[in-house]
Amino acid sequence: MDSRFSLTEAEKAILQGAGGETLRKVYSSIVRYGEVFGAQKLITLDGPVHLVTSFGIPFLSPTFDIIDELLDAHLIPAEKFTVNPRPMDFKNVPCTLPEKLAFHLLYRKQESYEAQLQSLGIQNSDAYTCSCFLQEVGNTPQFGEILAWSESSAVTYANSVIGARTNRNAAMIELLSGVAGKTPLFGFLTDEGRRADCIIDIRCSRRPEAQLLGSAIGRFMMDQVPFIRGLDVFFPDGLDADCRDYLKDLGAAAGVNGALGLFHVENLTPEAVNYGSELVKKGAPLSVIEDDDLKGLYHGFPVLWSAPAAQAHMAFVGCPHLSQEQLQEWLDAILHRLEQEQYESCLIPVVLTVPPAIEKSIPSHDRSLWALKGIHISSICPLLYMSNPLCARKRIITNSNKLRGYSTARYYSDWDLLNQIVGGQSA
Amino acid sequence: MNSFRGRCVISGSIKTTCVVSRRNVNLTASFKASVLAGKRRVYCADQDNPDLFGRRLDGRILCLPAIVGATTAGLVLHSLCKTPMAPAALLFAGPIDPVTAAGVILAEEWMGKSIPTIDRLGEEFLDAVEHGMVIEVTPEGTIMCFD
Repeated sequence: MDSRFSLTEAEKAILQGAGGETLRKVYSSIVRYGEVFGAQKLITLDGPVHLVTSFGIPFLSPTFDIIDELLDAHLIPAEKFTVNPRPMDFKNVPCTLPEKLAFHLLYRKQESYEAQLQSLGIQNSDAYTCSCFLQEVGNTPQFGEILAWSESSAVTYANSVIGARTNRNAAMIELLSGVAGKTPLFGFLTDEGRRADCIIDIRCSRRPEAQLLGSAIGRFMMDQVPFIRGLDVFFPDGLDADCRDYLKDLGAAAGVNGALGLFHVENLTPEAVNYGSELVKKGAPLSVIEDDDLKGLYHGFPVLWSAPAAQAHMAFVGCPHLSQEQLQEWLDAILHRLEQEQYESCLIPVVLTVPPAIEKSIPSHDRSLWALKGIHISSICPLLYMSNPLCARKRIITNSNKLRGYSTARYYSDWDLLNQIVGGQSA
Repeated sequence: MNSFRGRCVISGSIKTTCVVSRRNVNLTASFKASVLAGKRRVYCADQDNPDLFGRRLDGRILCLPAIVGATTAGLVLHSLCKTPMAPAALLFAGPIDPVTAAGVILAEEWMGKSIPTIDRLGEEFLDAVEHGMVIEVTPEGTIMCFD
């Protein structure tokens, strides 16, 4: 492959083996990766990495082998890092004995993998979440910082909502970049790579569901960068907590049906506020999303259940993990509806998933009370829960397009999901 | 016989049958069910991709526009290389994405296993290929399609 990659003398020496064979492979991997995308040099990272791989399935033995090799060579990231959510939580997620056995079998490398992460320098035992950027977790980058993250929803949030700069890295490339302290300069790390390829006009009568709109945008955009207009009218207070949470979910959903890693929202996201329509490339095409488009998308999602009309077994809310404010909103909505309908408990159990730091902040008395009503708080990864073949056979419902896209879970809008969880149709 | 020339991301030679997706492929969603079930054969489980859904993917040359979806896709590819479940080659009409590129590079760099990967073959390549067609890939990135 033709390369115009410019290396420092130290980098050249490492690639010739001066730092040992393992460090050579670390650098060779990230340099070759950069070459494919026209990178011309490595650039120093400004913040910790976030790893997407949080699950110890034997299939990933090549990954565990690389980590062993790194640890044997005493090569670890310079900064403490965060990792995606864990795959199991028997304490808080309703689970049968056969399902538990299947979990133990499926994730039988979990303990040894977590030990590897500990040795590599994970931030702490609460650092397992896909919403690593929340203040409660602490891996919160600043505007303009250079990062090497994976986990598509976290990447999209860091790029779009914070204005930090990370490519949509593959698993392991983030870790190897963290070990090198450098990552190849291309794509979203460059000013040009962050310019919008197209404009999307949102012409909806009311605020669209974030995960539904995200899915629609992902299908339109693939790996292009959209400049989204018409969404700011639904957020009169600008980029506040409500707006940030909305954009978190929108970005997560868009990453499933496309390869979106960055979007700009007129008058809301930092670069759109700073540069306005100057961000948009000349001649960028315009697409429109209207109420009917989203309605058609919603009703067109395939249902993979053998008995689509049957009642669901369980609901998941929080893929990606909910913020503190989102958790409170869902708790309020469910508890209010239960009170309104004079029901003792939900029709089906609902699991609200949050980062461990938020989970631990909830008084145990409250959690016990909610559990009696069928409301469970967990820091599990719903997606990895659904990877258990026995769980995949269950009728799971969710408001997450991401969970829908990667499992047999069925998507419902927030309102419809609430009806399914609690019953009743009260306004 | 049609022939096409693309850019070699991973060089290699192979001649076998292909499967074709006219739409972008979510690799994780496609392979996950078979991988987790520990099967030796992979049947595409991506409900959003009717071109591939239910089709056998292991040992086949996968012809596609691009790969989309989770950043674990690279990990899936990398790990597949240690099993009999890997696709025989990846042939992209458009440019390869970072996630897939990482997967095939890691496999070659750390395991010495190569999945021939050619990108930028052009839209006409996808127009010319059909499920079950035999394709030959050369180390220089030339693709020959046999009816």
